[in-house]
Amino acid sequence: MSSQEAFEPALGWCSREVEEELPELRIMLAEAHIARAAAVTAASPTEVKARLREMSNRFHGPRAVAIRREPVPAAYRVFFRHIGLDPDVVRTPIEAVALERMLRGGFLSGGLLRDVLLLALVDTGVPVWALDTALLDGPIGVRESREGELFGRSQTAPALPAGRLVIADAAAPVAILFGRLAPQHEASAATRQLTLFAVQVAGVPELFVEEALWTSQMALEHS
Amino acid sequence: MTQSQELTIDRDPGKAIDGGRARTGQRAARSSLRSQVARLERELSAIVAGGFPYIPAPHPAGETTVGPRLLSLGELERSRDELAERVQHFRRLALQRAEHERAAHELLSQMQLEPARHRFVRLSVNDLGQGGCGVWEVRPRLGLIGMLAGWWHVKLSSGCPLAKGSRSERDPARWSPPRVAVGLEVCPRVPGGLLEGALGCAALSPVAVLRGEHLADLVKLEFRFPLRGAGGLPVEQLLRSTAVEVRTRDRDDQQAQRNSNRHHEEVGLRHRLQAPAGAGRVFGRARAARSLLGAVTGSSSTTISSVSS
Repeated sequence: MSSQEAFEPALGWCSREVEEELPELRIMLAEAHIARAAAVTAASPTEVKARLREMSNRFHGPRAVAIRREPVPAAYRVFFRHIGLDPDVVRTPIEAVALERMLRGGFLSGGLLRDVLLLALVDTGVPVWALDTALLDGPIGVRESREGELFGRSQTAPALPAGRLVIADAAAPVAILFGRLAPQHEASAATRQLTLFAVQVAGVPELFVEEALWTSQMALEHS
Repeated sequence: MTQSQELTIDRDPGKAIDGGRARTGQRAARSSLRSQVARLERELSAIVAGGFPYIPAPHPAGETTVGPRLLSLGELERSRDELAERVQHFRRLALQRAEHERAAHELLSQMQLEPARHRFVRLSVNDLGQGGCGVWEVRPRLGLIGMLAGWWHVKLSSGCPLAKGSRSERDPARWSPPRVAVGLEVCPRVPGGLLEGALGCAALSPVAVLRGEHLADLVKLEFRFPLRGAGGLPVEQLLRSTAVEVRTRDRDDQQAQRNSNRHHEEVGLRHRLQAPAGAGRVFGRARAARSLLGAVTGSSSTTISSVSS
């Protein structure tokens, strides 16, 4: 059995309100163990950089313009509208990356973890995020934030307004859905194990989400 | 159990059922609104992606980002209405653009059918909905000649300028002259520099071709050929008139030769036969040969007599 066949991402949990309102929303998870001695945030190996260059050469203006009509990016645009985000104001991850590619003239390397997640996003259109597993309390899932709840486990973390859709573990919200991660839960130089998660919405085939997670996991574990 | 308790018990399940129905109904309404939002969003994306770069992407001004949340029925309705308004606006833009392109295509057809009625009209390919920097333009054939003769045609310019400047500026060692689209080539060995057809000479851009020296040549040509030709004799009288003209020319030649010999006598150059000043070289040689032939055969000639004397 190949490693690709063996790969099976776990499902994250969804609160009842979220599940009732957005029945096709899924959180899919995968673990990645960092094998290399260097930090996961340190510079990428040459193979990853070469892949970024190759990807830059394949990603041109016409695709950047037409990307909002591709099925997967279009599905995320629609979902943004469903959760109260205007995708023309808050860009979807793939559109933000496309804009960055156009402005900078290429996909620039920014460390192994960032590069790997970028490659998975451009390849599949599915955004993947990574949290430091050691700092998580139990499995993660989607729910609404509660009144006065802190964003992360730190006592100095900012409070979240009630009703925000967040990715949370058993203790606290660790990320805003399609937003930023709580600073204490991001991967650091000391991180040796990562929890990768991707958000599947209506119109995005499961295969694409699995592909994005598998690509990220393989690249992180074998770089 | 008291009456009031019975009523309470009886009423609670009803309330729960009503509440459940209301929640289910609202959820169904929200689901329906989400479907509408999805349809509108796809339509908006299609218009924006299809109309790029002539239809700008929407930039909602003054929008505040609240964050991801579960929208209520009212919020979804507002979102749907705003999106519908935006889609309506972009539909109008798309229609205006389509009308603009249709008018441009119509103008291009008219330019191609009747170029003389659209002199120097320029039409960008962007107006036709095509990419690039080309421009359709009604221009005269052969520059000034075409302007005077009424020869107009529609030309498409070569396109966008090079990002790094012209090739000659980038690498002079590998310079090769640009070619002219109309098939005229400029050759420095030919007076005026203009040849028709591909003769393997270097070609310049139309701007370079129509510079001062070349334009002066064109003006000379224009006055020399068509204006004199227009007052010519009919074909049937051409031979007769030619004969008269030949005799007249011979007389003139003889007179000119006499004048020349007189001049030669004056300057001491009698031994040399020369063509009169102002005559063509070939014509002068023929006349000299004729004079020489006359001298050999002994025919009387003023020139010969003057030489022999």
